[in-house]
Amino acid sequence: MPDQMPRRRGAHAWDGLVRGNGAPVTAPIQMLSVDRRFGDHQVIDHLSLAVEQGIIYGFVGPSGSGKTTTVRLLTGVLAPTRGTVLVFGTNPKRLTTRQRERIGYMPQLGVLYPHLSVRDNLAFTASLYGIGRSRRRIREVLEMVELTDARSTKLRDASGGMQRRVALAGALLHRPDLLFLDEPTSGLDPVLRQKLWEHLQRLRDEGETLFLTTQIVSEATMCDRVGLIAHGRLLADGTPDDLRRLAFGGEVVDLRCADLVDAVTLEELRRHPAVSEVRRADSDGRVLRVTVDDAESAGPALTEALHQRGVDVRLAERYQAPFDDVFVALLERRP
Amino acid sequence: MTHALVRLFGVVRKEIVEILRQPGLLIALVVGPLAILLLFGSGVRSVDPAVASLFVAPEDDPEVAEVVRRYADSQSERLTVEGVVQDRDAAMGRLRRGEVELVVIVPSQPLERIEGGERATIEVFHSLIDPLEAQAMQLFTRGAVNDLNDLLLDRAIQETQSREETALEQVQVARDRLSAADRGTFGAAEDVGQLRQDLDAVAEQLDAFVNTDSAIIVAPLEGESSTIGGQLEVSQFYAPAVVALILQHLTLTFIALSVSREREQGSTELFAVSPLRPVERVVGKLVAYLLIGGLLAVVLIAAVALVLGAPLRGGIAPVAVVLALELLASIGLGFLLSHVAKRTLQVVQGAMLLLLLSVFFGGLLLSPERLFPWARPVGWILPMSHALELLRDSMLRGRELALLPLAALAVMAVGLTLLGAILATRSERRA
Repeated sequence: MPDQMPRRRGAHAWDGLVRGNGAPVTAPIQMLSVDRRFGDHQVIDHLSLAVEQGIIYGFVGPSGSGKTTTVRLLTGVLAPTRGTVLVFGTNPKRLTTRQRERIGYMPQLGVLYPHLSVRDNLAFTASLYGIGRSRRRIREVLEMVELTDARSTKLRDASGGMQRRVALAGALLHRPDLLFLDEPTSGLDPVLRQKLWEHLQRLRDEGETLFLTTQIVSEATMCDRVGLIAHGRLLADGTPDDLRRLAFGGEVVDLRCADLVDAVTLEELRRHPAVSEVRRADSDGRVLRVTVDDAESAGPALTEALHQRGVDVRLAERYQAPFDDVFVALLERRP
Repeated sequence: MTHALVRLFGVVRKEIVEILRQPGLLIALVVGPLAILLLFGSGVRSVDPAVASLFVAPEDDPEVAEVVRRYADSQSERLTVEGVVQDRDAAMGRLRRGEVELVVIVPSQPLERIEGGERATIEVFHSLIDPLEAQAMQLFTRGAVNDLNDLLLDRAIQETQSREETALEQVQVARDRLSAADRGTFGAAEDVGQLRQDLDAVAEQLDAFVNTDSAIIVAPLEGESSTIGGQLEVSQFYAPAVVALILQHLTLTFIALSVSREREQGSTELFAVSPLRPVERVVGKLVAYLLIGGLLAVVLIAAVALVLGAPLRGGIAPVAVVLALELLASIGLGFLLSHVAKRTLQVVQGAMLLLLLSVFFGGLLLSPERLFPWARPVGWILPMSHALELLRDSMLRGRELALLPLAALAVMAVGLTLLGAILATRSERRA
């Protein structure tokens, strides 16, 4: 099982499908002990997770880690070799038409028709969801993904980034409650990526649940919850802060001192009850990176302790480690 | 120079390895067409198929009827003689209904007409619309006329010899009478009168013979060959085949490509997640390709009728029925092909093999009768072979649709469409 963190909103674990008050959990996505094999190759290994409503759940992992397979298991494209997958409380292979109408899906690869125009592709996608008069809605989503001017462009003539946006527009057309996005930002430039994230967060704020995969580890910070997967195993599952805490054994505070901190002071700092780890964070030895349980309370206490040792602490600030570092640290913790 | 050789060798090696690593491609591209050609080569008969024929002999001329019977019996290799009859109209009715392919009508009293200085005409009617076979039928007519002329000439000579014997007898009687006159025993006026009459008769007989056109004597019959429904241009004959082949090939290729492309580009994944049910998708494709194929059929028929001048002797309704059934069967075949061939490239190869099979065994190049019986079922698996038979009957011969090929095509249309649709739906569900 992955390292589980306390959750920010509506937190629950899989085994808490019934809340303490007896009310059923409304997690639209649930996986329990799911395995998926392709021949002898185990792609998903004992994966359990639950994604509550109204959040962005980022599924982060390196290429080949099992992200797309997980999305395919959740969308019913694949069946698990073992274990249980539920979407809206139903096996995804047996979702009703009404339940499917509540799901939007943007596959990893372009699955639309290269010989059709952007608008024709979207009209076809709209028809799949029973939207008969789709012209207005297509106009809206094209504006949303900034493709209004490219509506008559054939998909084969569109750039990779445009094709990704068309696919996203297709997934949004029918205003789904639950959106599966498989690497939605791959192939997008940073500006478009930023805009896309703003849009995804807006959808989240409107109450939609988003399950997305990404290889761009830094994007994990844009998510409400992050699952870290490698070799088919869920290594960690929690908020970005939770994962940081898990990666470094607590919160991290940077103490910028006026002078070089000597080794004796450093050793005394390590013995401080609030501290779990201290290391120098720069080459001249004036910045100390201290891992603590709670950065908010530990910052003033450590500053005071160093003052008593004659060290002038000019700045104590919480250190937000880049998510790449978090990711590497968590991978290194992998058994 | 060395680097250039390395690069060159790299390209050569890559191409060869790429081909060798795709045994399926090799089989489809080399073994498939070769097998079809071998099958075709060993399935074609070296002799012309026998033509079902009926002879009409004159009712009032038993001798000629006997000659015709003898001739009919001698033609067992080329013809399957269904009988020698006397009713011309009934024989023509059987020809029109397709029960026989050839009717040979021999005129009555051919020898008597010789005496009148005219030739009698053998009428040969056939329903063979293949220009090559129609040409062969003209040759057959010429041969038949020659053969019958020989038989009649033989009979005429026998008859003439018999008459000349009588003439000789008359001459002998005259001689005897003249000898009697020499002896002085011939004197009665009535004897002289009789002698004159005999000589007149002989003279008349010889005069008639001398004045008869020798060409008519040696060839008392002439032949006239005609196709029921009229002659056809080569392009008109091939028009139904072109329609049937193009309709089948394009429809099955389009639908199989459509399914395999969606599978390859991943659209099926989108469908699997969407509310679109597999059966809706399959039925949607079926309806779409019925409409597209229907439009294609209209264009093809209009083109062959207006541009090539192909006739629609049986009317447009039977043609529409046949094309609708062929279209359905081709759609079913397309679904089956897309089920067997998983990738787009395999679909193209499969469609090419089906096209080759259709060209060789579907009745386009050769009529099925020119194949050995064991090779004919190869063509039966193709909707176009049944459609072609029906289209030729209706468009070119103006016949009603024959029950057997119509039933076969209808069974294929329903069976292949259902089977193809069920397999496609199952594949969708599995995907």
